[in-house]
Amino acid sequence: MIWVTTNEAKTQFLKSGNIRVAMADNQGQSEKIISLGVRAIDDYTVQFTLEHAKASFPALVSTEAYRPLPRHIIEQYGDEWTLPQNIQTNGSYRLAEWDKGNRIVLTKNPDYYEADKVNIRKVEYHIVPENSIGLTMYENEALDIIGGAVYLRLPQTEIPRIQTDPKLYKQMHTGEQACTEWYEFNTQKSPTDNVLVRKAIAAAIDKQLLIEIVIKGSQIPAMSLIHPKSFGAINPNEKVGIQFNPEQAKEWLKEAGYPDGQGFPKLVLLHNTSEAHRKIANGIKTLLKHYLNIEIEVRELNWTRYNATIKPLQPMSQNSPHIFRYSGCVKYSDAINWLGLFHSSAGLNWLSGKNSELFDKTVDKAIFAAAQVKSEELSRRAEQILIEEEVAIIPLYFRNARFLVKPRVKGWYNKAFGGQHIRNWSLEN
Amino acid sequence: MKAKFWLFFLVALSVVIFLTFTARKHLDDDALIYLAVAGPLKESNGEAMRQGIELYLDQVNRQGGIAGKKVKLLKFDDENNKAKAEEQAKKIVDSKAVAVIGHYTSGASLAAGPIYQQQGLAAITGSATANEVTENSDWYFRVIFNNSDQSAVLANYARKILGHKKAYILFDEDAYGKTLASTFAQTAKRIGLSIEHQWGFNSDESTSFDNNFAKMLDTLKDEEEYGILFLATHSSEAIKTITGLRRLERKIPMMGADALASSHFMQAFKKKYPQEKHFPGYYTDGIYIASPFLIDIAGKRAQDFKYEFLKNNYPEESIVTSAMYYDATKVALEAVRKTLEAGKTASLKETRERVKDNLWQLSSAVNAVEGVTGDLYFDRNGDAIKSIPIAVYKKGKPIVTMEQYQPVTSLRNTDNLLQDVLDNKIIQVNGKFMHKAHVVYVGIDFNDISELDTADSTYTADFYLWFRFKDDETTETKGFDLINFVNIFDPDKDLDPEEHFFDERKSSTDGGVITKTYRIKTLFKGDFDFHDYPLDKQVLPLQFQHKKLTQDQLIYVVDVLGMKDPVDLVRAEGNKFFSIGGWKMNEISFFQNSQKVDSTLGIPELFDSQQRIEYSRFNVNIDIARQALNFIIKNLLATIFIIVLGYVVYFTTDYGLRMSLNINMILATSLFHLQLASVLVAIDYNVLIEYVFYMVYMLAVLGIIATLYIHKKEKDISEAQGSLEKIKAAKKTESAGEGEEAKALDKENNQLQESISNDQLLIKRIVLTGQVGYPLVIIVTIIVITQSKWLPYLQKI
Repeated sequence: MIWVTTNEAKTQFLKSGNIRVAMADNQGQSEKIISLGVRAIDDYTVQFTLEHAKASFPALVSTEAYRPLPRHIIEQYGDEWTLPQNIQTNGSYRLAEWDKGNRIVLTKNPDYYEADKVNIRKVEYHIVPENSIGLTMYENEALDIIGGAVYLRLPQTEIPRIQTDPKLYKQMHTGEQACTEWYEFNTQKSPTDNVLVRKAIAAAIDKQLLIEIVIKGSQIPAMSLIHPKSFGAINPNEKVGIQFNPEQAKEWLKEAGYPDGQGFPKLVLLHNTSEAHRKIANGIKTLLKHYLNIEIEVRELNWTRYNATIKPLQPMSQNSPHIFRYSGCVKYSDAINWLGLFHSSAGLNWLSGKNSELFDKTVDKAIFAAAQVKSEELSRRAEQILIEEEVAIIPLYFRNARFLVKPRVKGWYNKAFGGQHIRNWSLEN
Repeated sequence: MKAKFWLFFLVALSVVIFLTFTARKHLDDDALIYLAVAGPLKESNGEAMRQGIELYLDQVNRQGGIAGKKVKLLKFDDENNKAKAEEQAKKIVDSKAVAVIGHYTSGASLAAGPIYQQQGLAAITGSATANEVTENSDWYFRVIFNNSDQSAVLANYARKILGHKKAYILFDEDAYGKTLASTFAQTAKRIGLSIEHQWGFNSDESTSFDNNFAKMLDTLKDEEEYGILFLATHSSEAIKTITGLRRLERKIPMMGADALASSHFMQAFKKKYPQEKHFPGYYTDGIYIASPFLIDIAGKRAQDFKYEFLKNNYPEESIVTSAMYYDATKVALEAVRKTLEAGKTASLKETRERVKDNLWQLSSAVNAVEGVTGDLYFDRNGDAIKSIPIAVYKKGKPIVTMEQYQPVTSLRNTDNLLQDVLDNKIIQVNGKFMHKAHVVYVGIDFNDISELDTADSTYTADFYLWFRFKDDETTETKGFDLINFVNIFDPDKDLDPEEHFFDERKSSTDGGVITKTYRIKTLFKGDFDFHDYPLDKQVLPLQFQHKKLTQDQLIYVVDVLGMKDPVDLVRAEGNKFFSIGGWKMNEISFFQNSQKVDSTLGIPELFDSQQRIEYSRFNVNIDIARQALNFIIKNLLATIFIIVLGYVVYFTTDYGLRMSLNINMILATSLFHLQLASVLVAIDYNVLIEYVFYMVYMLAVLGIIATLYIHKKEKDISEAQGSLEKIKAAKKTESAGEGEEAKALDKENNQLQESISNDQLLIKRIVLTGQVGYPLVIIVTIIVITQSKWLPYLQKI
């Protein structure tokens, strides 16, 4: 039973999986899908037909867009098909209760194919408006788990107290998220159009120090854009990318024609309004002044205006910055996901000139590579161009969210791409 | 009669004395608190443990114990051996101890720890530094810093303050040495200190050390330029290494951890190597160590502790260990006190659990226990949050170095934390921030103290004040220019550094040290307390603190070596006190402490966190005592005469004399009383001498009452006698008849005679009471009002 949607986001997604999609030409408007290379063969099997071989397809299949849904229920109830009394699911848990705005209750699904391995019988999700309330509930034994990036986060101001509390700090866990924070260069505007300048700046940023002192968080410093555990990611042992090396940074700046920062114009660094981003931006300013003796002007804009300035980047305009901050998260671990962002077809021409062509070509080859090994090799090459040869971006850190988990929950672990494998956890008694 | 008088007097006196003594509460001897100590009790380190613990227990027991119960120490010897430690731990758990102090080494503590964890007994060590000791246990606590913190600070010190770019590590492969070595290496990597070589050895195997030492010597011989050698070892191997390395052509820089501050280190060194004994520093000069207790920067409590320690004739090399264990005992007994004061517990197990919970309660500087080695409170692992003083050995003694790292108590003063870290003003040690602090040696030599005005509580001090510190880019901020005399009389008048400047010297030998001297003569204010006037003691204080820099940036240290010994100073003055007559100097003490302010100063971001600002303060306290005898003779002689004359009232029969003596008493005494009031202005409490005056008033009033009453009775007697005469005469004129009238007259006669003799007896009794009671009241009053002076002496017996 397959449901096909005309939802645009889902279409893009399916296309990224290279599923054979036949689209109708809608005269320039959003394309309409007329058929899809997806079929249910029998009650327990779904068949996908792809345009061409794709190495990372199995990783895609676990994402939401690829989950089969009960067609007859949807056709019968329409928009109300998701109500507890109507919904039908075949996961490890069933929706038992949905008190909108208040809580959701799941109970173990006895028909699940591995039902005998599922330990926890009932799970409650509470909808809590504020982080601090959630923490209080946790401390009053009303919640077992709190934190992470998807569900209610731990209040930032309480972190110091939690870390020094003898009981709480033992219940604290960190879980990696498939999100990277990076700073990008405007590679068209002087002086950041000079690759030596970009290399010098990248080498003067002590990411470990920034995280420990300025952010005071649990983030992991990123040497590369793509998390090492992803398909096609660079092996951190190979030390690809620009390492923190103040001596080398000074050398590069000198080679670029600004020995000891002399004559270097003031750069503009732009970030979107947030306390955290402001701290990091000022930290970078301090580092660059200390190591390279260059001045940075830090500016900020609210999210809407920020996006408007960054997305359709007019590199040479007065308002455009030299450096700006960005972050991204992915749903599944494939390097192509990330690299696609920088492809010139994505409408964000952040790379300049002929190196942009080389990057595009490499990424295209990687997308169409049949063998997994070849695809990964090409992805690594593309990333290397991005962060080491061109230094178009400076990856800063991988997000690492914090959780508080009660000791009675055994076998808890975090899923970087979101969601929870409650079926693999158990309770103490 | 005389005998009766004296007997009555003596009995009354003895009753009074007896009551005064037994006013002290009877202590409950049948209930005791038991505390256990576990360590190598037969070795010098164990001895040092015992000394420190018993010093505290003696103090506590002298003052009545904990919640009224005395504390008894149960001793368990574990010989620093893991198997024995486990065995002794089991015995301790089976005993009545409510907590255990120890063990000494990390190895022994790790062996005993699981037993305490399982059976529920809190353990506090003052010397085991391996992180795992407290990390894995809810029941183990530590009043000393841990290995990862001390080696991180040492690595930072080597790189950032001493300027070394390379280092070597010699480490013991046991729990202690391994953590020290690994954290040192980890920190070194982060801060640009290159670890060129590491040599590890197994201290349980006899040849392992020798082999590895030979390897090390071989490698170092060929080195052109030395880096610094970190000794992550216990004291025995450290001694062997230090002496063995003397064979090298040049002296190699070395640094060690707290093991090199232990009593065993110096004692063993001196015992085995006569060169070190007779030329202290022959081997050890220039070695840097992390010492958990450095008296110079530890403050007043540390100095008081040292005084008590040396009074007991304990060996000075063992003071560090003893101080740590003194504090371990103090913090344990504070938790025990809280537990007992909260009420009765159902079982020993429950008492032990509550003690552990009360120890966990000590979680911030604000509710910390004030120990001699610092404020005692624990972090989430059970480790005490302390500073890590760095010292360098000079002439066989550890001396505070000119730069230290102090924990940052408030990040308020840093607007750019990152910049401070990049500039090496602040370092990060395992998530905690420490500020580079400058040590300033301060010395004061008094020339004169004069113009003591008790009415205003002021005095004038004339003295030399000097500052000695490292001459570098911070020189301007460290000296006289920025200090604030806390108790100067005229606070608006800032002392002009140029006006008071006296001398400046730069030392060529000590590596860029500068000494600046000033001469000051100005008025200071004290806070005099006249409760015991005229037997009062006063303290003349002199304090200053830095205007801007807090304790984590600047620490004052008493320049003991440069100043005259205070004991000699007191002796030299003898019975005088500089230019002030009528007073004698008892003691002069110099110490540094910090002025603590727990305030957020209204900054919202800081509302939720613990905020404490501490300023380093330098103090001088001069204890003076009024020379009572002189005072009494000069001012009270007349009063004494009046009192003696008042006694005469009971030995004379002249009504007029009696009255006038009593009235004189009142008049003369009130004259002195008024004079006193003019001397001690603005005082609303009663001073000691006033009670004497009140007593005199009372005696005078009673004397007046007695006199009047006696006078009345005497009148009655003479009236009665007059009547008797009449009756006699009446009887004579009448015939000696048996008539009614005769009988009535006889009856009257008898009545009168009875009343006369009654009255006479009454008069005699009143006089007797006066004769006995008068001196008695005087004696009792004097005993009572001076009891605070002599009672402590009797309690010691």
